[in-house]
Amino acid sequence: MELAKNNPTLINKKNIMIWATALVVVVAVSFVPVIFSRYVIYVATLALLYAMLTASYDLIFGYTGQLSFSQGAFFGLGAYTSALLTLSGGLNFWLALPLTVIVGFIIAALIGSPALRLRGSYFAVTTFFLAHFVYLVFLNTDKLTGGPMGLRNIQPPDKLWFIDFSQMNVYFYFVLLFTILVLLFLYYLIYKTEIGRRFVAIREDQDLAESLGVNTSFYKVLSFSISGALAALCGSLFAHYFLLLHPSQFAWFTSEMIVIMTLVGGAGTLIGPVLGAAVVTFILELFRYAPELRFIIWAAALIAILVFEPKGLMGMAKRIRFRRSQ
Amino acid sequence: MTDILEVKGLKKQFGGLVAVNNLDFTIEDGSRTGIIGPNGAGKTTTFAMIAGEHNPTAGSILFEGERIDRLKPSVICKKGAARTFQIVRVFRQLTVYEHIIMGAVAGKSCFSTCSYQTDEIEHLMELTGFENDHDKIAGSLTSARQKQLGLATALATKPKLLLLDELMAGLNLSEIERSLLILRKINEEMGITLVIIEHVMRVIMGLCKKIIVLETGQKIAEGTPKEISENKRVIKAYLGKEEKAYAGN
Repeated sequence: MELAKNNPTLINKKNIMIWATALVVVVAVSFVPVIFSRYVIYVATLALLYAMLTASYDLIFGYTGQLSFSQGAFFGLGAYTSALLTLSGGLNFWLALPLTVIVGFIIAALIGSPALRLRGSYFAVTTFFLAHFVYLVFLNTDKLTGGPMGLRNIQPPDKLWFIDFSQMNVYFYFVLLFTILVLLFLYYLIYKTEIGRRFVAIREDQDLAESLGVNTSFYKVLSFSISGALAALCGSLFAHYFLLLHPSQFAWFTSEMIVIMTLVGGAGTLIGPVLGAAVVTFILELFRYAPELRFIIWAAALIAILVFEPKGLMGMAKRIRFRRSQ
Repeated sequence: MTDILEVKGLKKQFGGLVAVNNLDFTIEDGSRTGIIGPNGAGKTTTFAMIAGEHNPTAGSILFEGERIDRLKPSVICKKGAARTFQIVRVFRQLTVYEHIIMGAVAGKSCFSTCSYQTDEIEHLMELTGFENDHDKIAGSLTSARQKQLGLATALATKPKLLLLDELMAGLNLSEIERSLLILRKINEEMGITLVIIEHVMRVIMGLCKKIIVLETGQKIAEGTPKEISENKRVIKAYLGKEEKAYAGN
């Protein structure tokens, strides 16, 4: 009977409430393109894209506990890889997409294996410079990436059965929504299986995990690689939605935004970073009328959030629920 | 009896500091051995080298006749040598039950779901006194209890050799008696070889059949508790001048 308590199943009373809420949110979000203007759809698409990126980042930061500032670099690598595969390689988008994910995984593994030997802030600084290095590569390999001129003429995704992506932006919104749901489900699986258990063990105490038999270097690289592959997936979708790539889109600021969104939402909470991305994107859009003030206001708000609620939106939700139950 | 662990000419140097120097000892299979010595004698460093956390500067460590120095801690753990830490180390956010299961599955190579014997986990929890703490969060336990949790988790890896680093620190007398009973059971019923670093003399003298004394990285004495308590060099290392030690008695 004790065991039943410790083996949470997918369906129990508490989970039904969570699933119901999730369903309502998904349905509500699905109606955004039907009700609102093109601009709102644009912002919502952007929010979804960032939500995916932060979700990909949550694996390495939230679950495995490795602070990394290179998520934007993998995002950019994915975007450029996918764009070049379709532009120069002439591949079909739906073939380029999985290839991009594989490329992202391999590059992350190659970089992660030496970099993850470093710990804590040393690793963080390394990834920071990795992100800048990748940005400089985009900027300076003119012949391949177009350098500061950017990469143009990227085509929207090819036809998939009856869906023509060149005609309707709205479809893209649904592709992203679908991908996020798949991603969250993948995370749920990782979290519930032994791999996730090991990631969490590494986050909680790496030396203890190693002493109990967890091959920490392998699992850290695995986490970093999956995380990088998913960021590359976002990059591929991004490239074929915005149709124009420029190195500045993948400068250090992008990586920083991903970290910030994850913190605002609450790291390691599955749904928190997704919420954080949506909230941050909308807040930044709200202040678009004051472009110079935008980031100053935002910075002040961020400091306030981190001072008053270091565990982010999910921490706040947990506290409110705790207070109600008393 | 065969030796489960054999340490030969072990040396560890951190920059200019020689923490352990030319250390030799053997641990008999199924035995209970204590390692004592003043602070900074190199006890924990020795453990760290056996468990693979540090690579020795020189010398070799044989576990069941096989070289294990320079292997990773996770590999050594899978071979059957587990340890607990001197400082408190727990996965703070896990429940006690999850924490112990982590020990049972961490070293297994499985990607989906690892199997573990629930009755074995329950038995372990009962043995180590956690039978009523399934859902307690590890981080909320007292530090002494967290150390005991470390013992339970290390036991869940099913070790042949268990290195315990100051497990009793911070326990009161009745808790120490209880822990002694647990350790005896672990050794006698489960057949696990114990090597213990401890400052609580009551534990060392009551439990161990052999004691190794270290001072400034070197072995200065080895023998039964009685021999050690009468060894002049040991008394000197602990109390300074010989005369005073005798005066004290």
